[in-house]
Amino acid sequence: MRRLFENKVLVLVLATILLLSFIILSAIPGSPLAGATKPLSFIVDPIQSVFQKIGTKLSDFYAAIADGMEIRKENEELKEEIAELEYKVQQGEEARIRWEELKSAFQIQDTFENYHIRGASVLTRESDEWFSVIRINVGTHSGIDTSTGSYAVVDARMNLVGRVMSTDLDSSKILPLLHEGFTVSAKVNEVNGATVIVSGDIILKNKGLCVVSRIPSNAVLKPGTELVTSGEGGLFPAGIPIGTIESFDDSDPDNLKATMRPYVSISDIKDVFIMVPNTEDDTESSESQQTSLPTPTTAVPPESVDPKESQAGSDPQESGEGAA
Amino acid sequence: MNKKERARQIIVYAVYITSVCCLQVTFPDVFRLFGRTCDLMLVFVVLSGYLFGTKDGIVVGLFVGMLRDYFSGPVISGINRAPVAVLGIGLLAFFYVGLLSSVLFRKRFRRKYNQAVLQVIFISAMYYSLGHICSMVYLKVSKNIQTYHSLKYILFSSILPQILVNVIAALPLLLLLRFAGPYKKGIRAGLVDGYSMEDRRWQKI
Repeated sequence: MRRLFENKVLVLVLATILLLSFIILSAIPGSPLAGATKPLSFIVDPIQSVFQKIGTKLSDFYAAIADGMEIRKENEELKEEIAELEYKVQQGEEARIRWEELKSAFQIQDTFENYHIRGASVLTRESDEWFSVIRINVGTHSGIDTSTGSYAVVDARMNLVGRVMSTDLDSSKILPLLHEGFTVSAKVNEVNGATVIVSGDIILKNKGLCVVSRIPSNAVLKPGTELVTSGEGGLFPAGIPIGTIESFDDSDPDNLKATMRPYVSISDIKDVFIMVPNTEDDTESSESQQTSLPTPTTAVPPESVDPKESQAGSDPQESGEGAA
Repeated sequence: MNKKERARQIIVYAVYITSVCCLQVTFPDVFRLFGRTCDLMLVFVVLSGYLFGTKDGIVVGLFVGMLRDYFSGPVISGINRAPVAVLGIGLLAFFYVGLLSSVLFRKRFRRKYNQAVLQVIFISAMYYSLGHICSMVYLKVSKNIQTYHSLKYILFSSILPQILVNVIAALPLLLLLRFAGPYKKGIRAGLVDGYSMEDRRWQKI
């Protein structure tokens, strides 16, 4: 046995086979190897967070010195602006109360009311062209668990960033919008707008663009046209802004193609928000809160929609959503 | 190797591996030049293998590869065609990077510090060329995507600038491994590679 292991070529071949089997096993859905990084995250995440904090403090310190004078001026201007905004907030609060009343009365469903939003900071970015997923600082400890499904990730302006791929204890991996493995069903943000597929592309990625395919033959996508998620496939709720059309190629009528510039700038984002579907308990508690609010006598409380039910029967693969 | 030397080896490697990996993925913009981010992880594995031998190269390669997979593992189509962040590609790639950097040109370069840069250039070129080839083949086979970057783009916008920034990153790392590395005076005493060290031409700056 010892002689066998003295043969370097044999050891090399064995090690390669072992690592290749590791790769294949980790690609199988539900494989126990998918959770192999959880113990590692227990050690690495705190160390990585320390690096991030030190970096942030250093950059803040530098920025404080560099921008000191400018900040003082800006501070004075902001104080004036705050006074104006406070007045607007008062007006806005009145409008909000009125909106809530109207919403209940007309049974308007808020697009994202079946989701709650969880904030997270970007921990790590891509290592090279191929190692290119993003890691954020929330994981199973924060209630994000991809074993039951994926989650949409948006930025502070509710623009689509990507989707959660896998979770560890205190961190998760995000597949960004520009990645060639990313696909989402989208529609033109107009009444009866055409439904298309937006996906990442290895060549366009460097220009910060996505490819738009499966465009209906009668559709014309002018530059500047806004695309939002269609909601087909159930992975992403409908209505999340994705980006605007950059160019449209109709040279082949059977295969219309376009490019889209996402609203989000992946390299600049520091904070993201995960859209977590409400569970039955959340829906019940929000319902009980709503019933406790004074509502007009004619109003009918909005129906509670279980996101699982709304997703049932809509296979993400059928619409191409999330498929690599 | 006595206990003290072993402890130094483990502690220094642990600190460098975590620092290099965390720095690269946390502050990619800080290490960006000519539109490319210095691949500190790759350079560190190459230098460890080149300077301190196969065993060190492989072990450092495996740890760095594991962290690379953990932080930003590549995404492929899973069995149900849904994208999956796989584990092990970094491990496999960096296992070979560590091995090859310790073996290739061993006789010619004699692990001298000033020629470590040549090893970084050679392994970087190999890693990125193979990366593009694998990526192209994978896209063709799994997704039937026939288009890929042009050869001009691959050469002048990907491989060459990446080699350049890796060489720049190699210089401080080389100094760190020489003067504050895992071995005293930057020389691994037991490393003879089957060749005589009596001529003292090995590992000299």
